[in-house]
Amino acid sequence: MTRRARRRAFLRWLAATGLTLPALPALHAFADNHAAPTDLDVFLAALLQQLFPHPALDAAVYGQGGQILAGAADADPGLRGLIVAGWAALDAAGDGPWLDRSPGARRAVLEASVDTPFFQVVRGLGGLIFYSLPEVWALVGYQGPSFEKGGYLARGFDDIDWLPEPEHGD
Amino acid sequence: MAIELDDTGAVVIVGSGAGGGTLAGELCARGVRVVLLEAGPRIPSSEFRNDEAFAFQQLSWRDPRQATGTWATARLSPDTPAWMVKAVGGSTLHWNGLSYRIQPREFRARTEYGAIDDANLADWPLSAEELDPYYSAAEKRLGVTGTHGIPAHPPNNNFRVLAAGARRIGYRQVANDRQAINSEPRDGRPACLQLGFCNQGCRIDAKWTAANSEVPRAERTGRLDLRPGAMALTITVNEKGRVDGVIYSDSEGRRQRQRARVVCVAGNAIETPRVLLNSATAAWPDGLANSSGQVGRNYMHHVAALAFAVFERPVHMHRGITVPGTVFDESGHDPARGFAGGYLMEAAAAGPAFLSALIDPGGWGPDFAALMERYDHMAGVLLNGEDLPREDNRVSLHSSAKDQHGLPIPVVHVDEHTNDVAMREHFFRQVRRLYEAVGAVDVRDPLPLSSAHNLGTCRMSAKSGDGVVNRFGQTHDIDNLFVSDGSQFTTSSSENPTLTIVALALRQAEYLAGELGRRNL
Repeated sequence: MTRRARRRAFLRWLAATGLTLPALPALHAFADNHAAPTDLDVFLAALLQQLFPHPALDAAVYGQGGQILAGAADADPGLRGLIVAGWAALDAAGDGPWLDRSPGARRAVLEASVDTPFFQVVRGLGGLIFYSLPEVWALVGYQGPSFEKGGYLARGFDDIDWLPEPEHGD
Repeated sequence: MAIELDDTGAVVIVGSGAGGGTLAGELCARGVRVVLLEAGPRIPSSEFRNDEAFAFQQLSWRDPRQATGTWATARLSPDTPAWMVKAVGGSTLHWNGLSYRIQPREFRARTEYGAIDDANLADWPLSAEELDPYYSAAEKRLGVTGTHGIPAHPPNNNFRVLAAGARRIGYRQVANDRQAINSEPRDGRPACLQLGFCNQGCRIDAKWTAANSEVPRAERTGRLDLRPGAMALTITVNEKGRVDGVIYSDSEGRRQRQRARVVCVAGNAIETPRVLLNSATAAWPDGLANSSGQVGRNYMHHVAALAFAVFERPVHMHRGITVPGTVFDESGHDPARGFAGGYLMEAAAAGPAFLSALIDPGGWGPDFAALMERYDHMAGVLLNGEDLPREDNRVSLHSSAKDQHGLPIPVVHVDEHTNDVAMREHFFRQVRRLYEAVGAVDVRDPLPLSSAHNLGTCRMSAKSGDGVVNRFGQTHDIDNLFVSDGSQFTTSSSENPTLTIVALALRQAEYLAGELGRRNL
């Protein structure tokens, strides 16, 4: 499957996530880590930082997320159009480009746009992408794939120590 | 073995999941030759990955579909009404392994609940007592923990939180057995290593699937002709009004016709009615075997939702079996709660990405980020409740949109019943009490979910006008046409459906082999 086809398939998956049981993306598989960031990458990285601000994370992590989200937009003209138009609206709502404003000013404009399709799409899709980055997994305490490590049987699957032992049910 | 296309002596089964795969395994064991048509590929377990995006693309049924109606699915994912697998083994590749029997009273839903407005309730034409030996055989076959001397798994962290909270608020029926996941080596498959990726195709085959158990069982008899990549399009009928073949698109995209002595349809409750509706002829203008008008109707999918709670100390819900155990105390019928039927509370885990979409839909900014940083302090629980059959909740054919084979795509329409909404709200209240009783600092009510359970669209009925199939899954209209999956369910019950699908398939195989032997078919 080509990268483009994989992205398309991935977008179909994203469309389905509102209903599926746990099926999480390892989106780093879609990242193109070696390309220079485009303006859209930079904008989306700044947007992700506003949406999901984790003080302990390096800016490069948001950069990676921005690139993946931009890649998804490359594969879907409708998504790209929505993002570009949303970006223009953020720029128009205030003085000067949104990217040049203070974090507080950026946030204020976003707060006024939460009901727009643009915001809802970048929030939903951006969250799935961002919270699939291994660096973010490490931050939140998710350990990810386990087959190669023999599962969690010997790695704490039952190590909770602050609850009473359950009895077998009747 | 290869069975010729013009061989008129074989049973043709459409679909290789819990219903079709098990039926193939049992029919072959009983000496019947079977052609098994499976729309998806055969995927070796060694190709499964602990990677949920990859697994979704690898396993999911993604042919075009449409969801309509008032259910959240129509708004959130209008192109994907349900999460199903398209591969040999069907949705047993991503099932969680919970193997619960339908409760005796649930087989009598119409009698027990009485008439309910805007619902099309009926009793099953089958009792728990009649199904009991087949349930027992199914439990043995699947290696269900807590049956036949098979030990339960040790409880994982996520289940232990649920169990402790349940007991604190007075619940007593809490159990982590009844799973078709090996707790010790059995049937040539190893014991579970608590990988935490039950939904991505069990990489080590500790979990029973039709692909790792039933299809190989059928193959060992030398009587199975398995055809992966074979999408059934229509079923053909002869001049005597009996079915005589299946037209399918093969793995090369060529159209083929396999002749058949008997056809059994087990494509999941969306594709099964679809193939019957797509097989309409002059003699069957409303779809094959649809004199009742019930083909595609009474679609059920369980009242489903996922709730998460945050604790002061770590949980690590992602470690181990994805759905590790259940609270059964709300599974009875108690109208005082404001709804008919019951529900199960099943511990369930999600990873961070999926969680970001569920725990606080639309949430963002510092508070949301801080919440996500508590990921490893969270526990989760899934609602699996009985939803009511409604005639207008149905699978129908789209008026214009076609799939890659040129056939109308399925439209899945669901308008939620007030009973579904009341049940979900009750669940949220109980979950909040339960988790707060063991120290939850934050309990979140998520969006309702569609589950992966598709049921009822060719339902079993005593009278031919009330449903599509009889108590053996044989269509009322055509004696050599059977339905062999969850489409047969008269009501959804509150239990996960797979064990019942398997038990019905074993019973149907016995009946079918007997009828073939008596030359009644």
